[in-house]
Amino acid sequence: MLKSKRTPILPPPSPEKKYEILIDSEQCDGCELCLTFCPKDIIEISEDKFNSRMLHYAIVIKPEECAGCRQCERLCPTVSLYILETEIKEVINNE
Amino acid sequence: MSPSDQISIPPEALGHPLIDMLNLHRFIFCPGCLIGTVITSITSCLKERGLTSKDYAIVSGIGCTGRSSGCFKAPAFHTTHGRAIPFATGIKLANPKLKVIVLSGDGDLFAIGGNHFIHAARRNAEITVLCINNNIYGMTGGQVAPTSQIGDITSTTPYGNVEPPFNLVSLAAAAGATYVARWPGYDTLRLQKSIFKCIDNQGFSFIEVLAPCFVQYGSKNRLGDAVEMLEWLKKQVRIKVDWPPHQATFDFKKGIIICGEFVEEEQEGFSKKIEQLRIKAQNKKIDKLIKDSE
Amino acid sequence: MSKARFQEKRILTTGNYACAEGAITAGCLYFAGYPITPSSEIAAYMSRRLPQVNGTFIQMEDELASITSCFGASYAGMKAMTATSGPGFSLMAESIGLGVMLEAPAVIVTIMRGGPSTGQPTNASQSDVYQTRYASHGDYEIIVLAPSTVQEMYDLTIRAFNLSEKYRIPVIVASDGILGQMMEVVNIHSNIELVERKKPQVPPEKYKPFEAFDDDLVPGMAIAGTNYSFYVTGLTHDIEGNPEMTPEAAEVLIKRLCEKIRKARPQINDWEEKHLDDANIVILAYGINARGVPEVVEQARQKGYKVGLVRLKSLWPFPDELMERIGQMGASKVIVCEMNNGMIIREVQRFRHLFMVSGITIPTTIPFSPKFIYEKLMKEV
Repeated sequence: MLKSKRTPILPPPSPEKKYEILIDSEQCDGCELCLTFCPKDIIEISEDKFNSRMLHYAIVIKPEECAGCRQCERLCPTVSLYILETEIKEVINNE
Repeated sequence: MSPSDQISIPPEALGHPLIDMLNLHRFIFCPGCLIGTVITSITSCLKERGLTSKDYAIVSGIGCTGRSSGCFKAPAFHTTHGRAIPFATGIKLANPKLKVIVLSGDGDLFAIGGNHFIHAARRNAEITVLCINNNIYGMTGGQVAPTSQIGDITSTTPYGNVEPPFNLVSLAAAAGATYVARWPGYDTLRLQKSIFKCIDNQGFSFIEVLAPCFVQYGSKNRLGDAVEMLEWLKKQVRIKVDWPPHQATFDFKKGIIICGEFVEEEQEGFSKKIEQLRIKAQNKKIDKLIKDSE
Repeated sequence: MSKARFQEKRILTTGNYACAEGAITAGCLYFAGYPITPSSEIAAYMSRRLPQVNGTFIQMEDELASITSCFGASYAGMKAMTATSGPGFSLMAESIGLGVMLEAPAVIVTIMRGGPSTGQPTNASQSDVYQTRYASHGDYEIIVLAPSTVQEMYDLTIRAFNLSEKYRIPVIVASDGILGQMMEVVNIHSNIELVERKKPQVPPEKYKPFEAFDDDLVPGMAIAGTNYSFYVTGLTHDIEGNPEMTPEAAEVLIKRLCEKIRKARPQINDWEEKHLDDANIVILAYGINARGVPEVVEQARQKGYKVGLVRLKSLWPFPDELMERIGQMGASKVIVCEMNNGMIIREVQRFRHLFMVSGITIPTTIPFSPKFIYEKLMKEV
């Protein structure tokens, strides 16, 4: 993790949206760029798992904490990581 | 346990938004190298502008970054060493509707291709040049580059480099580029904003992207691995607004790298001027005058 | 194949202008050049004519840029040409290899001048014959045409465009300083056949840039700005354009690149022959130096010597079939006349099992006079 970490411009918290980080373990080469720049430290490199190229790949450890800043998606140099954005439908109670 | 049992996500679940625009099997870069990041940044900008493969062409030279053109699913050209800009100029003049992007390294663009760079900037050819600057020749084994700093250890300067480096931003601005910016490769948000401006710019645009090479530069100068080098780079980067290009310091020894947008002006592009020339030439009176003078 | 219709006319013009006008006739829309004596007039003429036909003229910063931008324009769908001379052609050498590898059609006119180095810029020479063939590194075949009249400067430039479009290869027109500057009458024909490059034969999703379906081994060419996406590289590649570093890939690619030209030799090779049927001695010449030879042949014939003439219009690929035919027809000797230290003569010497080979090879800058050739011929008979 970067020592001089500066919080990137996080999008405003939106309770209606859920973010899911998807990682293609075959494409990932474990370069650690995503976890280095993640403001919430929710990605890690797996220590016991490896892909068919014998590379340890990135895994998500705290999926519920993702705020959707997409820093990891933009940084990923192997196009192996992206964020799936889903809207949570809430029943609006008028009472 | 065989490796195939450990795939966490089935491949079909991967619907990366850029997957249709990239050739994943041609990503041959070292793990942690920011060239891949720059490629995805360009691609996502092109996608956001709604451009498809018939709207743009990618040209690259030789070297690590030279291999990047193959990653795009588009008309992509991997030319000879240093000749990416003339090739791109040819494409642009033959088909002015195309957005032509040159993606190449510092050695390719400024050592062997330096002449082409300054002349393309001078004639304001409407091409976008992204120079991925790693301060060294990566693919050939870490030789000294025109951007290597004084004192740098490379495989051809074992006692330290004695030649002062080019400041690419000042060079581009002096040569007449109409858009000049410098960003660290990890700052993808600002880089993408810059790429949007380049795509829209009616002239020669230049972005220098800092992407440290930990395999050659980092190991020879004891700067650590990919992440440690980014940490080292991040400490030096100072982002400035409206900073004049001649003061865009790039100095590892002082620890100051000024980043930002340095030149942003509107000027008529080269292919527009060629268009006007045609109208002039097709005017019969002028042709007769030229003929008479001969 | 398309036909262009022109008004039939006769004009008095120089070789360089005829060459440039030939290019316009052939549909050339892009010219990138750099001034160099004695080819500068081609650029000057193109700068006036191209904008009139909606073309693009650009004077690049050097020859390296000129030739590379021609390939760029070619891949964006325009017929492109550049013109240069001795030292400039040396600079273009690397990129000729790129053109062969990318299979990009383009025409390179080289107006040969005296060398080596700066040499004699204002004089003619034939000393770049090997350079036109072996300029770039690597194993490749190339097409070189050699005009010897101003009329042929016009005709062969058109032919060069047709050949380059047909076989997707850079074609070189090797003229020389005298021919470029001299004036002669040129007949502009009304009917000229133009060849257009082969288009992709499959839809974009199935397209592979180097997959040749036909017997001529020429793949269909996609251009930038269409729906086709492709990756072309100067690295050894497979049919999809992926860089391949295996020995098999090199063999497959280089064999195809060479074979597509070797196979087409009967269509490419072109020469003029006279009195070959009963000739005992054949004089072989090309370019500006061949202009005095017909007179020598007629003189010798009047004296009763059985002398024939071969004037090559295409130098490379070398017309092996012609040499074999000369041997079969019973000629006992071939005399090669060229203004260099012996280049084409070495190709002819490969057929020494068929006939004797001698040469008048002098690295001079003026073409041989008929009197001089006749004197030399009399020593040989």
